[in-house]
Amino acid sequence: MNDSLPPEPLPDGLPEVLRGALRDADAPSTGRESAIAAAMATFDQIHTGATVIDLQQRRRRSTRVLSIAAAVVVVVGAALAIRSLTGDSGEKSVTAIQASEARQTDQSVAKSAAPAVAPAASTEERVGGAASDAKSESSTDAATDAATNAGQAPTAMSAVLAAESPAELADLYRQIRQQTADPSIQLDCLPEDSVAVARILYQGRDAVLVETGPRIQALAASDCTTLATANP
Amino acid sequence: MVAELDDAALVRAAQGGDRRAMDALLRHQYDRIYAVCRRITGNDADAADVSQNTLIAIVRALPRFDGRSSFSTWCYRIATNASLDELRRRRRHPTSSIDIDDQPVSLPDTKAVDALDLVVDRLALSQALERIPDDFRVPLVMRDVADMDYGEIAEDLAIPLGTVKSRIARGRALLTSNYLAAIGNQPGIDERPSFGS
Repeated sequence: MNDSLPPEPLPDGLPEVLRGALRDADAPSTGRESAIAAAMATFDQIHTGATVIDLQQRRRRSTRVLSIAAAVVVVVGAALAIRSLTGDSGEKSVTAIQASEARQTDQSVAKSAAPAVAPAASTEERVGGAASDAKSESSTDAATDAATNAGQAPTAMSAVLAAESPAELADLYRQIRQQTADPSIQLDCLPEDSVAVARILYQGRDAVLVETGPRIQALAASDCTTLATANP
Repeated sequence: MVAELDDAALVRAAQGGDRRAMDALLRHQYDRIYAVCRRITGNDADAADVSQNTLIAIVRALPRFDGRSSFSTWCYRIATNASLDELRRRRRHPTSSIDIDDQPVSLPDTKAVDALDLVVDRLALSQALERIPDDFRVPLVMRDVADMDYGEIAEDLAIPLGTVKSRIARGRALLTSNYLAAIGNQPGIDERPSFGS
């Protein structure tokens, strides 16, 4: 080992112009976002004990989630078609579809449905424990029926979703949003300051999905524990 | 100084579980972390992977950060160590430090250096850096990109302080000469063939 060699080749070491260029390596934005998302998922895991679902795991589930989402949409459509044909306003099965969008998109529908629409906090009661095992089961709820009975086709629908896991819930929400281009079938999205909130259920509890920019986080409404973090 | 103060406040908040503070810190540091990883690993794919590992390591180690060094330096040191781990994993080049340190290095033409354009050909610079052996390139990056001091570099690389200084000097000379050669100003110096001989 020769530690005495050599003298500095240049008075100021590396030319500043080269040093500056060395420090700027044009970090790709996609890599940045993905790295930060992964690190923040770790942060959440440390500070909240939340379950973190990695990207590969999410991808493996995507096909199954798509099937579930498609089944939900089909059942909703079938239920709507049957009701419009029969005008039946009888007993409703629990779980799944709620027409709360009426209050946003059609005030008259909302008004006519008002007596039958329970406040958000009571949705869980109406859905009950069936949510956790009702992945593809769905039906219209009282608000939809009220709107239908009033002779008005519902202008928008919203869904209360049930899933086996937080990650599945997040995927389900995202996939349905992608699949349901038809504006008449929507989740219960309440735009607030560019944040979309969907009313959903997880293990029979209320949960809220918060979508902010490119990232989706599923938060339990009761304690704000992060259930899943995912990249679209 | 203001940035350091901001970082210090953000670090305290993040250590207390503030998610926004953590996110802000990571975003603030990512580009330089990526640069450190890119300059040491030598390619974009590895740099992206190592950068992500670095951010995760930062999050995990943050509760133990005591503020003795600046947060940015601490981050770059983690990035450097993660990059070195990647280099060791790849084992692209055998280490033969005695041969390396005894190799003569031609100094770049100072007139050519003076005439360097303010706009750097980034591709040529990357190629020039990649032609430098790891044993010179790594301490150069640790010093000139990660802002680590000689003592930290010596500690992390487990080599004497004098060797660190000489390798950084040689690395700078090699980089400048290779860059000038890449842009057509003078012949470059490629020491890679000396490895493993």
